[in-house]
Amino acid sequence: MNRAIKTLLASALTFGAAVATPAQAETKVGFIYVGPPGDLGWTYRHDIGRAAVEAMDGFSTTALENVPEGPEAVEAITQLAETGHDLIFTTSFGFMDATNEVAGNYPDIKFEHATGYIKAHPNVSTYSGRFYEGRVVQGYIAANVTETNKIGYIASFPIPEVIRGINAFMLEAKKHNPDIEVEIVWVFTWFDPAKEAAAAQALIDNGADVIAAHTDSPAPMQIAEAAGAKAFGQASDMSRFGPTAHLVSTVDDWDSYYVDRAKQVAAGTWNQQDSWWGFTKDGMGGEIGMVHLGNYGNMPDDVMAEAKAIEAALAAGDRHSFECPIYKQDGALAEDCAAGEDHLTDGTLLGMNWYIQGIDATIPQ
Amino acid sequence: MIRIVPRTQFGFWATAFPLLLAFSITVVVGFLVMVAMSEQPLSDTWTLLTFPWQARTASVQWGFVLQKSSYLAIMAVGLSIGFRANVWNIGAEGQFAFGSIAAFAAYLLFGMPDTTWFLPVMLLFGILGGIAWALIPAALRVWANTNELLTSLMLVYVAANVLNYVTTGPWKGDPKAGQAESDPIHESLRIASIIERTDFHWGVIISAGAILVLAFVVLFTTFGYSLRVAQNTPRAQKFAGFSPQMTVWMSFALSGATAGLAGAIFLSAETGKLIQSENYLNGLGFTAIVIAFLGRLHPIGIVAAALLISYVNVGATYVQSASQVDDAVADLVQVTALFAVLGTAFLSQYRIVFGKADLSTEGAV
Repeated sequence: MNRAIKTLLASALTFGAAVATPAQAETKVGFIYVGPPGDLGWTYRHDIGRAAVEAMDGFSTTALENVPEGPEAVEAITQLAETGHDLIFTTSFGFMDATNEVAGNYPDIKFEHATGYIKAHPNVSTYSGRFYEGRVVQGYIAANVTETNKIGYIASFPIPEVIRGINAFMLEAKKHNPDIEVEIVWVFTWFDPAKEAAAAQALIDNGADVIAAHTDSPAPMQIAEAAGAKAFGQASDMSRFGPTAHLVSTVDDWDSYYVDRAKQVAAGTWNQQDSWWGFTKDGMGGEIGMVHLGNYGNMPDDVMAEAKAIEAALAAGDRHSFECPIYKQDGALAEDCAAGEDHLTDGTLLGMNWYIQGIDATIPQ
Repeated sequence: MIRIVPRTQFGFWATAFPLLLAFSITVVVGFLVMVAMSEQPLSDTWTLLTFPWQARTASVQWGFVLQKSSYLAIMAVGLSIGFRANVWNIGAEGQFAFGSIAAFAAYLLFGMPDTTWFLPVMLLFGILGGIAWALIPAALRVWANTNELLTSLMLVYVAANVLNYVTTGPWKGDPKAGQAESDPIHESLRIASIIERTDFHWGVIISAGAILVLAFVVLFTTFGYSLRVAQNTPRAQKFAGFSPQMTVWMSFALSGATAGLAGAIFLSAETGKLIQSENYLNGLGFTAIVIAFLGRLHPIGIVAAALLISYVNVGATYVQSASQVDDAVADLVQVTALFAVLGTAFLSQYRIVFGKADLSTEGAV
């Protein structure tokens, strides 16, 4: 049966409802979410980025939620490719293999994988935020507000992104409070409010009075609020979950990246790249990047003022998050510093699999 | 006056009429669900019914349908043998997991052989693993008279935790993977696709062969006969040479074997590695129970039901990708079909009579 007859038949059976492709060429952008937008964290912020694309004329978007990071991801991504999407964002680290597998089958469709590092085909790009810049400011604040000198850190998986965050946090915290310690709990999940809450409670019971989390839900914030501790919001503004606990939130901001890339696909100028934006796109005070800090509160005015100054300095490129000298856990000077760099290079940061000196823990192997 | 009377004649219509009625109910309710969930129910229903022809690549869609239905059908045929004999194994999901674990164990045990010739050994170990896990509730039923419904179900969660243990403990692979998983098996041990770029792979053929063997055993052997009559007439079963205990052992062994085989195929064809349970197990073992009853515990019915439900499931993800209708529509259709088939099953034994009772020719109820 040829397409014309099929379309005719389809139209007849649906009383003329729109099944044929719209007259003007619309750019279709698909999204794969690991959780629900209602997680109020990671996926929520990606969905806001999607909405920014949807709001533009000539673009439509589709999102598949709660896609497990196993074999089912292949089917979900394939179905977006099969239904005429021109650009597909897969928004969790665990979609890396599936994204590259499907991309090989659909060379004319562009794929963008968040937080990954494998680009197996020319139609795959990767992108992520320099979230560690937010960790620097968090480390400064924690060093000044903690009374027990103990930080509780809820970590998801021992991947470079998470380890980088812990190191950035503690590097800055130690500068301002040499007695500060961190206890790290690995929960091996990105989104599991019950597990995250249990981890937060265990850390507080163990003496931590400031909680940082590298997971997606506001559960740790709520536990900190109930226990009278302080906490940092992760991925989105979580101040409403901890009126007296919330110090500041590291907010992901995907809007400008998604809008840029969608426009490039429509214009035919999309190219393979690896984008890594911090507070600003260029790290030198340029346009807004993928990370910003939201809703400072529950800290002394002078701490807040200094924290904002650090944020401004990082955004303008006046200082770096990982400035030399940096010593590893075993006391050795980091290779980049030994080689005469002013700060750790992006290559080192992307593959970071070691703790800095002063963190009394081992990375799960 | 409406009366329900037992059938005295069992012709073609006694079987076909309830199924047609159930099918009609499912179609009507399914459409009502679509009206409730979709902005354009007519065109979306049309898409759900015809998605392989609307998709970019029909073979990819059929590949998904065949792949899913092969796992469901092989497990459902195994389960149906016990269900016919009133032995209730509802833990196929756990036996599936153990089939995967055992197949991977064989791979490690024999020193990670890098040859396709080792694949049959892995499948055999998968079968044995499934049997071993299934024999636990069988033993508890025979020796301790425990309810196998409860024990087989609870062992699903034990198996899931065993899977989590091996992927986070002794068989843990790359910690940077973003999920707990083992190292991958050799490429030579991955079951290949028959049609390039689709999920129609040799595992589907292996499952189909196993279904044929089991169907022959059930329908044409004394052993199969004795299991079939066990449901209604334990005495007849005794004459056929089977003790009730033996029925329990054999039912669990066979259903464990099919689930274990499915698990081993899944490991080789879909993932190539063990993954933490929430990303690895996606409810195939539970859906297989539904398929067994939808197919009226008959091998032909089961294959038909598996194909139909898989078609709806794949179609639902397609419709979600195409027009953002939540794929929960597939679950609702599946549940409706189950209720409709079970609810109309009594019509194959009884018929509805309108009018006055004529006690001379009918046994009134």
